[in-house]
Amino acid sequence: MAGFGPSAATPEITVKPRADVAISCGVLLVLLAVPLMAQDGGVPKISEYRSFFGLDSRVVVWVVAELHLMFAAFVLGVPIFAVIVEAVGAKTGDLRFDNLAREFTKLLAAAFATTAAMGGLLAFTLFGLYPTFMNYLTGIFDRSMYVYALLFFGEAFTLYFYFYSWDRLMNRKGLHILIGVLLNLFGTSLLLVANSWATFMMTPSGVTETGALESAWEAFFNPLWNPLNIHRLLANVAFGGAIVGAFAAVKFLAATSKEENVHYDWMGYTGNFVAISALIPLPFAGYYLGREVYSASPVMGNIMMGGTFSWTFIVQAILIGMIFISANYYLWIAMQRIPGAVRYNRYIKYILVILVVCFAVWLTPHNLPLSSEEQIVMGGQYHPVLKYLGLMSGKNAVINLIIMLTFGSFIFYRRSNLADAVPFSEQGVGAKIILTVVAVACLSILGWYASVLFTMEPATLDLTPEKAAYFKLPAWLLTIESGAIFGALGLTLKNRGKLAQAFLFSITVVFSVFILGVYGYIIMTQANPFLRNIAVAQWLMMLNCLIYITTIDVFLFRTADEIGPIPWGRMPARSQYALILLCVSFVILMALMGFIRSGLRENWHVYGIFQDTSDGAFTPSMAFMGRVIGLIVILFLAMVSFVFWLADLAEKQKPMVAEKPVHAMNPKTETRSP
Amino acid sequence: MKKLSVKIVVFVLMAISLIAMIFGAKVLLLPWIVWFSVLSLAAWILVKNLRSVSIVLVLVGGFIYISEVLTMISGEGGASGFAAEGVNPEAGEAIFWGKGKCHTCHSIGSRGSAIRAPNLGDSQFGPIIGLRAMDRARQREAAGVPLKTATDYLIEAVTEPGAFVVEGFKNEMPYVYLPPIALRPDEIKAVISYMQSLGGEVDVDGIRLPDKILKTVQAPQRELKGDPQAGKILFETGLQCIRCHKIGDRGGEGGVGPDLTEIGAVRTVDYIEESILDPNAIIVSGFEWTSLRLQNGEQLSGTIIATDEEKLTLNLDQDLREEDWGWDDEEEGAGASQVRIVAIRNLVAQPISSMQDLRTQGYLWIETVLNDRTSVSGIIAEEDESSLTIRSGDQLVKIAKNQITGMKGRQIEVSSKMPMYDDVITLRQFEDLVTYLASLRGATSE
Repeated sequence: MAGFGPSAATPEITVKPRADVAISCGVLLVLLAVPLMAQDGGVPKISEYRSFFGLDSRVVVWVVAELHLMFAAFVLGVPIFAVIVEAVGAKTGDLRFDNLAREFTKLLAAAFATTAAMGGLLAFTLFGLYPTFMNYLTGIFDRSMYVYALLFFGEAFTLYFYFYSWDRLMNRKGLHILIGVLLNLFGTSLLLVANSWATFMMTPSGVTETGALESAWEAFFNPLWNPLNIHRLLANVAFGGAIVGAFAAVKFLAATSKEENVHYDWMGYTGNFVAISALIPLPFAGYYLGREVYSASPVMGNIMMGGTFSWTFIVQAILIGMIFISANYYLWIAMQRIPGAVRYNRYIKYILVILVVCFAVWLTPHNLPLSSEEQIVMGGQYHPVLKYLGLMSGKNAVINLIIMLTFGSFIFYRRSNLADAVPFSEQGVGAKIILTVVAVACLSILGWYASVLFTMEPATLDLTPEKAAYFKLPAWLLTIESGAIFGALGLTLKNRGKLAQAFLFSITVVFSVFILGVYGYIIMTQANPFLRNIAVAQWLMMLNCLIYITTIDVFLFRTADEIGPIPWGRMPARSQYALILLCVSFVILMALMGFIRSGLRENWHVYGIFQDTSDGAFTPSMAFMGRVIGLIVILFLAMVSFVFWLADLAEKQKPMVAEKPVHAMNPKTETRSP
Repeated sequence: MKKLSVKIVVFVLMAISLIAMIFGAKVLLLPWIVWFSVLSLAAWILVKNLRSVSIVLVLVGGFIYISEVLTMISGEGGASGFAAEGVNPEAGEAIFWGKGKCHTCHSIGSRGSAIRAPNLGDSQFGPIIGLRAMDRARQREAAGVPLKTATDYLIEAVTEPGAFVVEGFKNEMPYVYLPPIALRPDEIKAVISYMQSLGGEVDVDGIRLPDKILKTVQAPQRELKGDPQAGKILFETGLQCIRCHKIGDRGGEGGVGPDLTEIGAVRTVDYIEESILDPNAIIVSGFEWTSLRLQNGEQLSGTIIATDEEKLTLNLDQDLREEDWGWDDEEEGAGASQVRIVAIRNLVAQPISSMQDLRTQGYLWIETVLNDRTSVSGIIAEEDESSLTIRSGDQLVKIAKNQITGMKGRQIEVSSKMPMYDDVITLRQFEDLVTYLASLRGATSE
């Protein structure tokens, strides 16, 4: 074990880098053996650092960790929707879904080995370059590291079993899907375990002020653990969907047969659908994570949003805007091939204009760093009008609107090849029960939060009692929104389903975007701590609205006549470039957010407890960050392309499983979007 | 074949321009983003079967470029000007807007954009903080808390922020003396002196921090091997440092060197070592010694007590104090024989050869001749690599450096009066001295 350096008790011993020893050890050996050196007397006073062949250790770990995370996100995110797609195929009897799920899994199997190899490299670089810190960290998390190694076995076994047993278990789909579910359980558990290490470094708990371990459980369940779990889980699915979409786009562009075009067009559509579906709740998972960062450490929160990292959020805003606009653009192009879509074309230009305006607001900074001369010209540090658009309240409002408009584009796409809605009364009792149950569920959520706001003690936000008056408006709006959901239920039951959708959509936009958007500015000046509750109210209204409109839509168009089949495979090349753009934006966004999350610790290994005293412990400039992330993105895309190409080599050697004509299995599902 | 070669060349050049951007290569006639954009367009038109790759490269290139633009407009990595040190409003200002991270919650008037905590300038929360502090102290006294002065309130606000929270805000200000901010006591004092300077009177001596803050300062980051007793003897009798430096109520006659009573609590071991080996490395504000020549040919030397954009206050050297130099400059009443205020405009201007880092070179006031033969003179308000902003009267004038044909400036070079000891003491004595100084944590004399 000498290769990993001395323990903290013998700091005077100088150990030269022993890359040869490190490389000769396996990942498992690292994970299992290093805890033996762990000490639990707190943070050592002197840390040992090594260099990676003269390169900056922090940058080396940054690149390797980000590449590992990206592959891991893909490997953990894709099985979630692969199993869902397989289950849909099994339920509908549509072999197309089954083949799609299988193709997803083929990509997974190819990427898995690379993920593991990158994980090994990450472990070696961490233990090799930061021996003292990793010695400390393993002293805190040794048990969970054993569990991680065991879970990794579980993940590997179930993944390969899931992939290789596809044909063998073709007639026992239930069992095969169960293996897929197991795969997801192992994968998600791996994510949860690794997240605890990362979040402990940001918000340490279960240790004393000097870093000595008090409770391994508390260290594991630290304040940011759950918010990051939710955020990463959703982000992994969105990321996986975007990668799959881009893979399909590249294959579509290179396709040599009509069958390939049809298959990869549909695969690309599914990838986009998955990516955007997971992206819609992501800003709010991010908001929850950010809020918890603030709660755990206002200093870190302020560094994030008001300090060193605030400009990175402008770049983030640009990327998110690009993702939403390219996703909408893809849907609009896809609509053009569907005969019935002409009914909705006139709305596209309005959606585009509003999206662009929202995008502009979304990326407007609160203030610009100006010289004295520029400030004199502008009459102060802030622009008299634009300063309002840069505040959180404005941004919360426009992101809600962007999401709702994207949802609108999807609804238009979904209805494009369908004739008019079927009267709800023809849907049977089951539909009425489901619609009512969903309405009650929405009411419960909205009502619960309304009651929270009605009864909230201002003191919990450090506000004086009279400030309770400011809580009433959002509480009443939530109550009215609940009523609107029941109003929509009533209208739908009276066969006015489309009116119900329009009514609910309009009410939500007015309440969530306009009223609470403007009200947020008043709150910022009068009762600032309450602003976070306003954001939650906005999001709950929007989410419940989307859930309920979707539910109504499913029943309205479930048995609707089709105007014509969707001509899969007839998509212009620019639609596929939109998918590639979406994917690259996602990859850059992932790398950027990884930098922000990890960089927030600034010069601390474990925030506030274990200081990073190495030469590389500085926060890079935006320019430096941009270059490193650019390198990471290119490396990742090159590696993932190579891995997929390898996977395709094997595929080309054996004939593809013949796809039965879809209409032969289930004519009703042929022309519908998933 | 020829067409294929062109495609390959275009694509390879596009990739090279991106790599040049990633690794920050030197500009080749035009910025790399221009090359990259042109080559991207050419690649898109010519190499149709690699358009997917073109999209990837264009997005990555755009991302890198936007990151660089944001670095430029946000001023990251730009010239930082003077590195303020010591307990004074200038150092406090630097900490407030930097290491202390105060600006991420507080704005001061129109400076800064944070709204998470009260604006400390003239605002809806009251007058500027130096004035507001007195009202707050009265408010706190009325509430039964014995805060007598504005400084008392500022100390409480910075060191015990939860004691009084302005209405409408959460009790969430961190203890700035604890990690992750972990300001040293002298840094906290500097911030408080900066607050005092905002509308109030600066009284550094009146800032007495609670004991708990001195006690929370972390022990030295490395083990010290010297003998503190031997170090003490060396300090007091061997090298006679005590003559210039005060410890507790002993020594330091004449205020020649900084008070070292709390040095072990407020400074790192590295700082102490550096100060012994190279006293000029960092000179504590108020102990910067300078020698000046005035336009009337006269020479004077002394310690700079205070500076602003137009004048500097000098504590004249002992041997010069008795002489009558007959300055035109203003004299301070009570200390007229020791303290002199010198207008910067009266200093001799020297030709400036290097236009870079003028403020770091010690130039405060400059006179420039531009290529259209006009002249601009005044205080340097801002400086970056390519331009200078000069405060001339009430106006700010921004000048591109490449427009300047000639430049003169008034320079103030500072140094420490402390002699060099690196070749006087042995390594053992050096370790003893460092260990002794690192052990001084606010204790008074025995």
